[in-house]
Amino acid sequence: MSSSRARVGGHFDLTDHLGARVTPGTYRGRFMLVFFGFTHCGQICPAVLGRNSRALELLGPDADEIQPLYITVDPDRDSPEVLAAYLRDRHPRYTGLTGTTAEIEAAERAYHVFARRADELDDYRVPHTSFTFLMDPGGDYVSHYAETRTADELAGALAREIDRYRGGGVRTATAADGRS
Amino acid sequence: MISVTGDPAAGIDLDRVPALDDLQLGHLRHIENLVHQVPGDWSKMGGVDPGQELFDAYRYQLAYFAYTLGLAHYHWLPAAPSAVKPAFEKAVEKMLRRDVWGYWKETSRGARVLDPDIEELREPWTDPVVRENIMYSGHLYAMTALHAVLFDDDRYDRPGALTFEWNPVFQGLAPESHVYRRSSLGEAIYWQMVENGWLGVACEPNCIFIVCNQFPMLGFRFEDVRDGTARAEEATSAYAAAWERRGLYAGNGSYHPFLMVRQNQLVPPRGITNDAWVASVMNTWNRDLVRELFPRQVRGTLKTGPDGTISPYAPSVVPKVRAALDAGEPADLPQDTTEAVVDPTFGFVAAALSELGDERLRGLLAHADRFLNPTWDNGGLYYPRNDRSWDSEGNRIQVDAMTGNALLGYSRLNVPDGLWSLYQRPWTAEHFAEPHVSTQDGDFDLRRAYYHHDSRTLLLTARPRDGQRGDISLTIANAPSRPWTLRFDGVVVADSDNPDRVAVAGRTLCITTALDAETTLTLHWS
Repeated sequence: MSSSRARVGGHFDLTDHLGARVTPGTYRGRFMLVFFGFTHCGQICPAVLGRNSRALELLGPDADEIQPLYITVDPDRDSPEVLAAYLRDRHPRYTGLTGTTAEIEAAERAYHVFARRADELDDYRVPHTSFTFLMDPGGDYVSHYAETRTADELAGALAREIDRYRGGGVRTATAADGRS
Repeated sequence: MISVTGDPAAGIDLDRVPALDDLQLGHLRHIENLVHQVPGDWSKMGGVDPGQELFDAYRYQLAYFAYTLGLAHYHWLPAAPSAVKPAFEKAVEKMLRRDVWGYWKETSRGARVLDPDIEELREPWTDPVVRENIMYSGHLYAMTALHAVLFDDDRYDRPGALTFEWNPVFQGLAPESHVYRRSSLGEAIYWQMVENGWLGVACEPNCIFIVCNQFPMLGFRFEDVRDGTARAEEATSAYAAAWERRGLYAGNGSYHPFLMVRQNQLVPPRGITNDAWVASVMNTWNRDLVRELFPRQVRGTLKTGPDGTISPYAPSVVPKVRAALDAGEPADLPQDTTEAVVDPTFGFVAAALSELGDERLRGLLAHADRFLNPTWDNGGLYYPRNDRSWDSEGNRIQVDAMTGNALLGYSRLNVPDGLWSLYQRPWTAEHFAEPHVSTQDGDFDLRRAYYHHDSRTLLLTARPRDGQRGDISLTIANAPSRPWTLRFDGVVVADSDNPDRVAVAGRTLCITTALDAETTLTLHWS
């Protein structure tokens, strides 16, 4: 009998921006806030990373329970050093992850992420899925959030999920529910 | 007898109450006849291809049976789920048969025609919805979600409600069961759309058809209605954005039929067949675009015949007609009767005209009734399959099973923006709380079933089937807690104090009577 649920997330085996090899087990015990993108992205990534960082600020101390991860879909250019330089000043909470093309493609498949390089004249683009995924401290999928969510909405949704995980019920929040 | 009045509808103008005509009733009866055939009996539904790979496949017919029943319920018989629900559920039941989806194991291997770069076929799989095959899964999702919003019933979201059993008699290996429910089916489709950058899910491997990805949009919408979610809004906006980047239609305004994924290549437009099919469904969520494009797409594709009949030109003639129109010349050109007609073009054009409220639908149906051999069988109306394309006078006479069984009936039961209404204005709890016929028994058809809210009157017009007198019973659910009066053609036959022929159990009334002629029953609560 085959399973009927679409699995979201799962194993990855990548290198973080400090050069260490990491898997989901590395972050076990904390929520993972996972976003796929690339450092040369002109619009979507800066907007979503900015929104996510702001949401984590709004969470206050609860943000310590969340490990934000930025997985590149452009491993040819996004080395650990490039990721480190990109995140250091802009999004210091984030850990950047990269790997070989095969490793990145495996991570993309796990999260159903679409990413396709489009070479158009001299404009090098990588259209990609802009969801932010939330995984619980056990590594299981909780929800995903579209780029259209505001920082306030995302903060509210994250707060509710943290409370739910703690068994503390649903916290009053300004945001809509977490389902995208 | 308690009293007599001469008003058959107790003060309501019957002409203003929706009522099915004989032809519409005939189409519904034909659908009912087909879905109630014993398992494995596909009489009258067989197509030209033995492998269920073409547009007349069982899955498409069954899906359009369900959509037709849905339109009939929503627009014509809103107070009688009893009249359509059993047949609707039979259609879903048949969709789960291996006869319908078993083709996928072979199709899943891939194909050189649709993927020219393929070097060897893939390992096949039997699960018909886990990956690709949106031409099946999209319809099943739309059907089951439509069932939920029409009947206020989530039975297809129960665990295991949609289970696919693969157990060939002689295989001797462990049988395979692929277990789904409506929501998990929707999840499988949703994440595939995400993976594909919202361009959609493949039908045949490597091919993302635009039309087939319209049906899961209906599923998302209807499931949103049940769950209070907003996935359809996300899906349709992301889909529209993805195709805006990729190019939904060509410069002439015709939709590309599909994208060959590996080659990243759009297949050139094929003309009115594909355009009409897309328009008839995409009108639900993208009406402005459809209304802008369809007049260009349909221009020069329809030929006027005798007595106002209309039929599609053979594709080879269309460019000449358009050239004549461009030049301001008479554009009534002869058909090209050397060209064989194979696709359900006639039916898809009819479906599009019905949805867009185009008056030319009348001409198309007139052509069908004159040249396509309308046939009555067991009370049902259909147009039998005919593989000949043209008669000796050049009239189009080809009929495929999809057009003859499903699409012409669908078109006749649709109303302008009919599917759009289902999508945009689904019934609310208020509707489901109104009196309605929940079950019915006996050989009769309901021509009318409408609850007049302001006067608290349920109007039902019943007609014996095949002219045969018989006993009927109607169970009326959600009866208000008020005194009531029952009239047959304006004659009071019972009321709450003298409930002759009516069994009362709480808020349920069961009317039992003999029916020997068409009769309008009015049940009025004071």
